[in-house]
Amino acid sequence: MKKKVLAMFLATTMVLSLTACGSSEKTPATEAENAATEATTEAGGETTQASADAVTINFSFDQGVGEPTQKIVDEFNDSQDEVHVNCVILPQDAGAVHDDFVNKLASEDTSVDVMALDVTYVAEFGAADWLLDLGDYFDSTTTDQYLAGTIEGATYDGKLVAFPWFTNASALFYRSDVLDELGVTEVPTTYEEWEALAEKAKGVNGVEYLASFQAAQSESMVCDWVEYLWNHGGEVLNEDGTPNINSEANIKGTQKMVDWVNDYAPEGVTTYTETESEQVFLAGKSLLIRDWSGFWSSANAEGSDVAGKVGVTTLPVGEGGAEGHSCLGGLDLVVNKYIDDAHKDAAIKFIKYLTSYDTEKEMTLIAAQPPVLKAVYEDADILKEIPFYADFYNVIQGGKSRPLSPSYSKLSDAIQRNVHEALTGEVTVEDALNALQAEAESLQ
Amino acid sequence: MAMNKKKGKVSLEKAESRAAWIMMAPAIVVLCVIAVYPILRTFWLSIHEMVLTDPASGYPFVGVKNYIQIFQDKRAIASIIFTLKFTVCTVAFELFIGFGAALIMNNAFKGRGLVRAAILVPWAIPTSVSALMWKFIYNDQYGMFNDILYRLHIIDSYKAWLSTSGGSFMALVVTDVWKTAPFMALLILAGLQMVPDELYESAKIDGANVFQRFFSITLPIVKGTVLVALLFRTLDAFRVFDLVSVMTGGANGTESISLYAYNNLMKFLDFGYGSALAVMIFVVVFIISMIYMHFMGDKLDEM
Amino acid sequence: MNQKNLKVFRKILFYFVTIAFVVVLLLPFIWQFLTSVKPLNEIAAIPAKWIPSKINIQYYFNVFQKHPFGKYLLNSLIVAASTTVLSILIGASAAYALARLRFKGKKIMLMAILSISMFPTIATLSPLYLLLKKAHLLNTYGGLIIPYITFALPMAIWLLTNFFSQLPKGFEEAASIDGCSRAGIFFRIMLPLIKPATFSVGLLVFINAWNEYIYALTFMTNDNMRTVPVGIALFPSNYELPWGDMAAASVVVTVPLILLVLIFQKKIVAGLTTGGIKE
Repeated sequence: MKKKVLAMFLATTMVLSLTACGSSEKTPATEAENAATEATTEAGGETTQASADAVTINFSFDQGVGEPTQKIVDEFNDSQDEVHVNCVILPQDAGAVHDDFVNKLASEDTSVDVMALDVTYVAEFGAADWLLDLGDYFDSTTTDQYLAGTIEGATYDGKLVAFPWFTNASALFYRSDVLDELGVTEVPTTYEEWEALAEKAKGVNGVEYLASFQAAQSESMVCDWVEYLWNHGGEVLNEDGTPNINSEANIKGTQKMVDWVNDYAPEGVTTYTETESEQVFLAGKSLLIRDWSGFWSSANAEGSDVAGKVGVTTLPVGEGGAEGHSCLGGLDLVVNKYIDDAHKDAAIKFIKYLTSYDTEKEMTLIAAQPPVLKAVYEDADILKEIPFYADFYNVIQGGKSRPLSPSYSKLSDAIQRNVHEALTGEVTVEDALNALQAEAESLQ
Repeated sequence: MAMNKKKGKVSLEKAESRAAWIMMAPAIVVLCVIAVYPILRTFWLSIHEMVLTDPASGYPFVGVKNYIQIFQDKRAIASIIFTLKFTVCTVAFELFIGFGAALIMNNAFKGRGLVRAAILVPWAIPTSVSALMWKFIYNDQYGMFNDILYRLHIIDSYKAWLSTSGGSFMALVVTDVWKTAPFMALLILAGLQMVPDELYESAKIDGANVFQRFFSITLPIVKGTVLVALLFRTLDAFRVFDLVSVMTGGANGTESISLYAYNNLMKFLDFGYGSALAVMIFVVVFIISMIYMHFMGDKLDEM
Repeated sequence: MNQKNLKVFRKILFYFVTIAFVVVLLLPFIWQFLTSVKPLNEIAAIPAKWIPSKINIQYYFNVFQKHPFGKYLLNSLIVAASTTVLSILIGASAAYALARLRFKGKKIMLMAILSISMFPTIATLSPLYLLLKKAHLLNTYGGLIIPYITFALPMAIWLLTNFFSQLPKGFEEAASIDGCSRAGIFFRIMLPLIKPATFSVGLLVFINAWNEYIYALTFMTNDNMRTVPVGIALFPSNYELPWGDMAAASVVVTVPLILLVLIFQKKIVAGLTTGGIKE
């Protein structure tokens, strides 16, 4: 008797748990019917839309460019009925996006077809052999129309494993009202010229610091640091790819960064990524900020205390440097190698659309992301909307990429730790770069 | 007669044992189905060389090589030491504060309900939000932490708390204690609720003071609950990841062992070594649990 | 007279300590709340500004208008509530066996259950993804509920085992003499006795499930199935860190939990005096 009751109790719990799961599964299914765009994400490979013969592909990208991208995808879906694109949006965090893609690709998952991948990870994904070779779909007359640096960055081991979508370059934003007040007519071009303004600018229109930038232990700091090196004539790697980190020029460049952390920036700059550094500038506390080109719109947006008082110029040059080089970023489009041919063709069709003249132009206008198609920089509408793009083309042409290597994540991690220690004064610049050199050599 | 009685007892025990397994069956099924595969797979990966960016290697079997590497890896050792320090500090403060809060809430007073709800607020804010929020709070320009200390004249200028190793450690401990002391408080309160009031009354009559009552009545009864709560807090604190990752990113000597394992697994795509680190965490935590089990000793036998 | 003064003094001291404690504890949340009603340019004002110059409730509208936040809340509620109920049922049943029934291998069983909580979450992520994919559970509530139960069970079982074992011995015998079956004993006598503890454990399980991020991000890729923490993480874009929206959202998700506690207040704290163990 007892046993029976117990067994019944057990059965009830089981049934309860089953029904709880069973009924809940129905909900997404009905959701799916409502949202006609739904594709079963687990089996993207087999699913096509019931209504038409369209192939449904899943496009995964981050919320950083979420809204404008969604708009462009909608336009694509409306423009034709062969391919239907479903958006899988991830948080705006390059690390989280990377991890999500790794998880899926490492398990040969086909739930995503096209991914927007940060340029620094292309070599890594290429080395892991997860990406479709796009070389067969894009010939050199096509690729020649795009910025050479971005095509180079999309190539791994001689294969075009990605296609550039948009790029990103840094620039120096400054308070034009303060320069006017100080009677400065020529915008400074060297670190020293800016330093000379530091004392004078203090107290003018609320300015307290010369500079705000990104020096927290993070990927953003790596971008800032390589710029200091380049602009002092340094390089991270030799032509042959071997590390050359503790060179004269690199020591000089790193020392300049340390000086700016110590003497010209808020005390907390070694904890700043983009957000925190921007808040200092937006509150009117710093004369200049090194940031990505897209900051132009936030600087002039609602909530900014400095709207209309912002100028933009190239990064400063230091001793031994020839010109101010920006660090290039941006997103590439990659195709999952494991999907079937029908999906591959659909994916290529979609990528061609995204990188076409009209779409690149629209994306530039609505998302303020620098395009990769050269011709767009000469477009009259673009120049009317974003006047500084006339000069910006040269900034991007003079821009450089971080080292392209499958083990970039490890190199970047070593840079972050060692350089950050130098910035916080835990170790001397020389010691930090020597240690970094040794670590980089061990990665070879 | 005697024989019969013994036989009856044996079959009773058998029945009881069978009932026990039936009652545990749902739990065992769920745990086996979901948890066993990930754990076995991690073990398996940890004895292979598997760097995803190097598929040409064929991912060979390497035995304990990855484990030996841990002991030669200064960074791994440093992260284990940091994590131990962090665990000891946070758990100690949480115990102290949680116990205090539970004792307060166990009293009958006006507004007790509100206090009980309020104390859960820190625990209830999603970690992804609260870590960001605290980063904001420690900011050197507009952070609330600076503002309060400055107004109270404890500091004479705003500080960049997260830029030094001492400051970062302090900030992480404060945030974690703030977030998880409620966990401790709620459980200890539940333990206190199990103490019958009569025990206090009779002790009062016997003339025992507050401290005597605490040590002779309260503590023995809540000891089991406190140890279990401590055990789970320790396991969680030792695996700290989100908090460190958002607030410092491991800068200034605050890389936790979970963060380091994560870096190897997901950032460097070194699944072999990263899995070995994960197993290492498992082993350390297992040892800690054994120590707790030892303290629970008799308590556990009663269970 | 003196005695009375002392009593009053102690009462004041008690309230003072309690209030101070609660204020310190709530300070970050109060700050968060104030942030959620500040005008945009005062959120990151330097130096920090406590009291907004005017109340701005725009962020609360943003939360629901710019994002399907109501849907996120519903998903979180379904997932967290199912996880809690099932974990408690499965956990209490196992805990009862571990605490009150005689069988061999208890210690090993307890340790084996505990060891589930010993792995770093990140190492379980990709194998679980594979597993759920094979079971076609990605983008379903079950795909979150089942892993959540798994990782809630060790804590639930250990705590409940501890509470069951504190009940006086010989309870079941008395009950079974009264003609109660074992299931009857469990449901009608033992479970009600540890009700306050069950509610506390349930609350912890609920909040853990409510706040979980990384599984929810990985296993629910469809926007309709997202939970609150992931939803909030999707707020920031390249153009803005909508701190006001995020503050408002975190207030919105915290309030239901507070209400929940207030509603179940009596149950959480209903002491043993009402439980009937008094002898």
